[in-house]
Amino acid sequence: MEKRAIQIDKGDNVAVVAQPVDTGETVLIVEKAQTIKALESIRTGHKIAIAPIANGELIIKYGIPIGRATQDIAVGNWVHVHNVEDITEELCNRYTKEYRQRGKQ
Amino acid sequence: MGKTIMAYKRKKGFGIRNYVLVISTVHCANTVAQQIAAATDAHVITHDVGCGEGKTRQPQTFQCLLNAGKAPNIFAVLIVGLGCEQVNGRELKRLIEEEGKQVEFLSIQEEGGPQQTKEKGVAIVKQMMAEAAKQERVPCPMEELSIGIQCGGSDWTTALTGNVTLGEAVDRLVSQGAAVMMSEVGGLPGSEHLLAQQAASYEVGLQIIDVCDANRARYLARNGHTIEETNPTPGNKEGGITTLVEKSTGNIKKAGHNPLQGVLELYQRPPHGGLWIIDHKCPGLESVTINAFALAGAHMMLFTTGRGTPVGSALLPLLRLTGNPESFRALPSMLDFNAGVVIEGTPLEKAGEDLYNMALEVAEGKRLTKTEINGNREFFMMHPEES
Repeated sequence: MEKRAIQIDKGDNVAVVAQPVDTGETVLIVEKAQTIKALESIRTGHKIAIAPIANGELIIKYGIPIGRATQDIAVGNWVHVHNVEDITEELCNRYTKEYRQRGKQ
Repeated sequence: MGKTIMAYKRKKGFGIRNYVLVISTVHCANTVAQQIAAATDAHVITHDVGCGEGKTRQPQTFQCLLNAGKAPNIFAVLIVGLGCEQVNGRELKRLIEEEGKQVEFLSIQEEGGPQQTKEKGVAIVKQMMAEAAKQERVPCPMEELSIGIQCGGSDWTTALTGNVTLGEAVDRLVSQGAAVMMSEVGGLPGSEHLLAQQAASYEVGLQIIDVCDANRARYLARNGHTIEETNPTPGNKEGGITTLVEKSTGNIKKAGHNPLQGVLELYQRPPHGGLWIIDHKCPGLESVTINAFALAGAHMMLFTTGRGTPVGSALLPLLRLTGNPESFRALPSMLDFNAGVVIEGTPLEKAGEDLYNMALEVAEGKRLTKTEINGNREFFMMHPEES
């Protein structure tokens, strides 16, 4: 069977590879019925970029932001801690503080 | 009336199984209780407490046994005690009887010893089972169906295919009026902002944020550092999880998309259908949490795994799905549903619909889960931490 990756939500700019992928291999994005070329080797369960992501743009998985790119990421790049910043504080903690402050509307 | 399912009518609500339960009130009565259950195939609850407990824990033990007896799938109860223990077996009997169930109590000291208690107990359980077998399923409102959801024994597929498929099935259950409860509040920090947005009201959103903040504070007090400092863990990162939001979102995906109705405490039953969170505050692993659902009146559980775990419950059937097609093929006697088909090209909606249909088959007794077939009838005493 060909190498596959799963795009969980239509709005996601990353997909999760379902088998180990080597540099140059084509990967089928199951939901889009579309293939892309892996630019580097990626382990099972790790993320592959399926859209260009500029430095500073949000990484979208499950249809929601999960982190921010710290460099330009091309389609087929591996997306992980080396090129993504954890912005939980900004996404989550700031939201909950504001939620408390704003009160019931 | 909306959608109905075929189930066993009770004084209040219904059961999807007609289990007869033997409860040991104290560790001294465990062996006799186990022997009665072994001779009859009744379900049994034993534990290592019931006496010599302090003022805080003793009522917790009693409450835990009481809610087990009240659980909706329990048709009748035999309580086996020693006679001089802290747990008052006759009071336990009286309170479970309020649910309209047949309950009998035997004291080993009063019956003349273990042999006499065992013989009498076996006869009582056989009579209860004969009564249970006579009861027929009747149409019951799906709005009274209550289901627990959880994951454990996770791998890289748990969030990717397992929990998202479960979320699809949960959406269908909730839209038919069922109550669905999740727990695992330790895994919520990192997705409070999403949960608050999913809340049915501002107050419910605040309730969820409060629970998460309390959880963060407890974690900090216990470990001396924040959840963020060590999460995602090195193992998570090895598996491909990059950020805490990503990790936490993978956990809550199992709840689907419907509005969250509120946070329940241990032993509290959901007052109406919809999505709920239980904050049971009991330390322990997944087995303890499974129990919390049963004690909150859940009829069954839907449980996502990656690698596969066997644990079930004395009080309810547990349907186990895996998101990993290889695990499903490797562990046929442990796993009920293969959500790994999503990796192989099956649309998520189709997998969710199939899981929903399987859950209804289990609820109506047309299918036994692997936990039932394997006799995984675990039970764990709940002792909440001081908060």
